[in-house]
Amino acid sequence: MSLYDWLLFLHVLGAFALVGALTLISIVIVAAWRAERPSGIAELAGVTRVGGWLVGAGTLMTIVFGVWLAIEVDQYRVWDGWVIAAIVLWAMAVETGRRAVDAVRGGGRPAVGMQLASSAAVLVILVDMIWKPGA
Amino acid sequence: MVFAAIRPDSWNPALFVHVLAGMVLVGVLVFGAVALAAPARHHSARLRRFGFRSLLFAGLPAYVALFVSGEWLTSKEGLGGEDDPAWFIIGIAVGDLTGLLLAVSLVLLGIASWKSKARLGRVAGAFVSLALVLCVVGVWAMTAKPS
Repeated sequence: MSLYDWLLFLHVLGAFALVGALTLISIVIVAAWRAERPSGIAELAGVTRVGGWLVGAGTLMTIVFGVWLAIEVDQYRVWDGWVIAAIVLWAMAVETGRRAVDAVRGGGRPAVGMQLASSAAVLVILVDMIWKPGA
Repeated sequence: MVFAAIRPDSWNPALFVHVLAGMVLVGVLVFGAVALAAPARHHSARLRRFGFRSLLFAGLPAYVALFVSGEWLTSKEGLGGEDDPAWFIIGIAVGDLTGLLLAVSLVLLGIASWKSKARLGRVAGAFVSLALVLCVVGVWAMTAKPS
């Protein structure tokens, strides 16, 4: 495997961890909503913790290996419009995702708005990464 | 410095659905693996039921979308013949095995939820964990494209 292959694999694996974590947290939010007793929400603590780790690993891997890829590949530049758009959206997704995880740990209901914002940002990043407008 | 592979724009919608479905499936499998493979004292009937519903209402549709978009991409790339590259064969094998594990997990979890059988729920959790490992292998095959 070449360096490019490794970078692409680790970048995409990070994206899978990030979107996987968002999916997991969405399931936890629905589960917490349906839980009638505090013990029902407490059962989800372990799952939420893993979601938090995945968000951390995913956000770090996507940005580090993504920027490294933009430097490594001749056709792309870090200052290309679609790369900058992805970095801005990534920052929005990270912050809203962090608030969603915090809100889930604090009770669940206030997390929905932040979770939707984070999911929307990640969805637009995915469109940006696949279509690469302007590349 | 290297050049990235360029693909026609007409492949992008299929690729978008394929990648998104794969990501959602991984998220559902992570939830299932963590919720179901937990030690017995944390393994409640509620988590088993939620694991079952997550796999049924999110995991299964994501797998179907992954499979259909994969076939769509296969037809666009002209693959599926006799001289298929190794990454494609690995992807097909991983996809089929993941589907099989998902189906077995759903059946086991359905029974475990219905009959309140914690041990069966943990066995399903092990299958879900195995499917998750296969998904990572699939991501490696699709990105590194070993020839």
